[in-house]
Amino acid sequence: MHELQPDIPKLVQASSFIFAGTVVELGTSSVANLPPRDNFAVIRIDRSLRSDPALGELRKRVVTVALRKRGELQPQQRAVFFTSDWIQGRGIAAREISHVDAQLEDDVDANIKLLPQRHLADRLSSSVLVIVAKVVAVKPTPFDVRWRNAPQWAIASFDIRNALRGRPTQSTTVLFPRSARPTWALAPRLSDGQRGIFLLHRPPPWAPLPESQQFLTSEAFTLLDPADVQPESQRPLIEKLLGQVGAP
Amino acid sequence: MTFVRVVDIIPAERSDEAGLNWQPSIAVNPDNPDQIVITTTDVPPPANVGYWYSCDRGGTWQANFSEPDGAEEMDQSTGLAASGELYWAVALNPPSNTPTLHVLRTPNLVAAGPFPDIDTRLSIDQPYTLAFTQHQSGQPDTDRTYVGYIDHSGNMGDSAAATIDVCPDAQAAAPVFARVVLDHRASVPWNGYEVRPTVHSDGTAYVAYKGWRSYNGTTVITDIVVERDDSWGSGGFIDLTDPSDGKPGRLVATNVRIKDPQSLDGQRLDNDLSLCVDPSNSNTVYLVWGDNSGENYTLRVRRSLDRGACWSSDLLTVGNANLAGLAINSDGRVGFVYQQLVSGQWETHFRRTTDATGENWDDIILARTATTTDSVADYSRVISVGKDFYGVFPAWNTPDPANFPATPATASNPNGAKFLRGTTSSPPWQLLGASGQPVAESVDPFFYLVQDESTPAPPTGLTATTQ
Repeated sequence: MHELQPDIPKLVQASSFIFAGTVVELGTSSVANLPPRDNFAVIRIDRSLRSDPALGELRKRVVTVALRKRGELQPQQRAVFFTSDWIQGRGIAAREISHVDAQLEDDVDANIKLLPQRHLADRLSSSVLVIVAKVVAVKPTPFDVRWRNAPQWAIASFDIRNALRGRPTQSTTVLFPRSARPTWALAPRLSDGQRGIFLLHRPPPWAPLPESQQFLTSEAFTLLDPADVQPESQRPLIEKLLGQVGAP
Repeated sequence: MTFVRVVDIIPAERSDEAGLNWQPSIAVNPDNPDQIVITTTDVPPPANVGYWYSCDRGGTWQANFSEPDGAEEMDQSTGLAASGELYWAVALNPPSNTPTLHVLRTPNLVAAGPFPDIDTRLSIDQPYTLAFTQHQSGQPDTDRTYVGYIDHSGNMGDSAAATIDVCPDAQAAAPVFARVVLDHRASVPWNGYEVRPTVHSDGTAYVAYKGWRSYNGTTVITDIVVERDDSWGSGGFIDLTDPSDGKPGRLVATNVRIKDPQSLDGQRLDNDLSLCVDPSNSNTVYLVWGDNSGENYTLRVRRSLDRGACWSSDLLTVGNANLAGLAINSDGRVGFVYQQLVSGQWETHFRRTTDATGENWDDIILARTATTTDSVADYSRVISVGKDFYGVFPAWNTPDPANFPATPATASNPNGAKFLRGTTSSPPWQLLGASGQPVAESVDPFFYLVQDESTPAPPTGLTATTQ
């Protein structure tokens, strides 16, 4: 096979389109305006494992894959394909990153399902404080006119019940963006009374802080990643992951 | 008789899409208008990085999402030269959050990225690309490429300079882009967002921008400035001066008041500068901008008939409208696109001058669609090729034929506009996913073609409308 000892977690991370499929034909194209090439393979998708949600149900659909190497696959052969997106419309084409034996399909699927947990572990690892808390106040900071993509920060304060990482004070506050611009679109938005587990990070160097810092009652922390706010039901998992990631 | 085509470009393969396709822009190959490229920004990120292309004059569409997506896709536009070369200017926002201009190049719309990067600038906004193939007798054609943008690199967040990168031969193995800072007067604290070039085959190049003179956080006071270069932009755009101070850049309007920030039913305003030159007469240029000189935000169309020296008063005004775009066809007829808020709906209008005065315009309503709380675009674009106009607009994608007055439903096209993605073909009008399930409505890019009846070899399947 293409990878003798495949690093499946790494392949999963690198691939936007992963599927188990069967080779239908080699050296041809199923996509309009994409002429056949020797390294093309038309694959029938048996099971989509990771794909752009906009593509919907993909089982039994065909995709033209630009293989990295010719001669490794034969018609009717099954495999799991790690690919990146290419053409969508009048057919689907993708570019192969690697493929592995079809027997590894469930292993690949399990690794894909672990992606959110791996991301959560990364966010826990980079956090300064992890608190179980209730939001008690949310206030906007003055509108930032310096830049159209400015985050338009709001500041939230907490009633902190527990600290799972770091040593917060009751005056600990956090900044979160109110701007709907794409840069900030996925960041969590907090509201009064919201309960949860909050992963507070130091502001990244590129994030422009409010021009006036008078609203901050603690050092500046930010919430920027969707994983930075977790439901309290995630506490056992978070405590387990914190045990694995070590001290800040 | 005029023929109108309106197409929701989301292909059938992406029928489950329910995201926002933000800020569509368009490029057309002037020597082969079957080749068209549209760019949009998928929101929210992370998302695909790429462009949409058509090889049949907008009848069908495909996405090329092969550019590596390690950075967030921001503002972008493309130029498609007569050579067939695509010049794709895209601001990519890497994790360091410094929006960076990349001018990517490919001669083949279906090629897989990453594409060669021929011009890179840090800390920019609103790249606007114009590609023009210069045909020269006895010499090889050359692709002249212009990329207007505002440059924040002097002091990120606090200042921005209206700038244009000019390349005399963008097909060269190692193209050279000359960076031209446009504003010759004091801008406070920055220049406005739009930098819009247009060029004529005789070498006359114009560029429009806003030279801000003050900003208090709620209101901009700006000049509307047009600069000209009589040698393809190689001379620094200093060939048109203003009589008030003798400096390069004609002040078409001064002390123009624009509220900023300002929204019209959720749509962000202050991005409506557009400029076009008559392809048959480089003396004639039309300009549009939006301002708050009156009660409501208003688009104003003006023109010059003497190479930018003298400008008319308002030829046409449109209130409560945005996403303005201008182009002039080979007959000297001006096309003007905008979206206007009317009775709680967005109406997408395409209007053309009906005589040489510039004061009389017809009016084709391409779409009448629901509003959205999302900002759908800062700017739009329309392009002329021969007598025809090509453009793209963002709109709520309910596949109801009543939403598309210029393209009445037919048996083969029950939604009025042509939908490539899954839809019902009778009421209730719904989007359908790959499994036939209902899909949430959202904002899609809609291609349109307004075609003169005398255009040779028109594409099939057009809907006729009498204008």
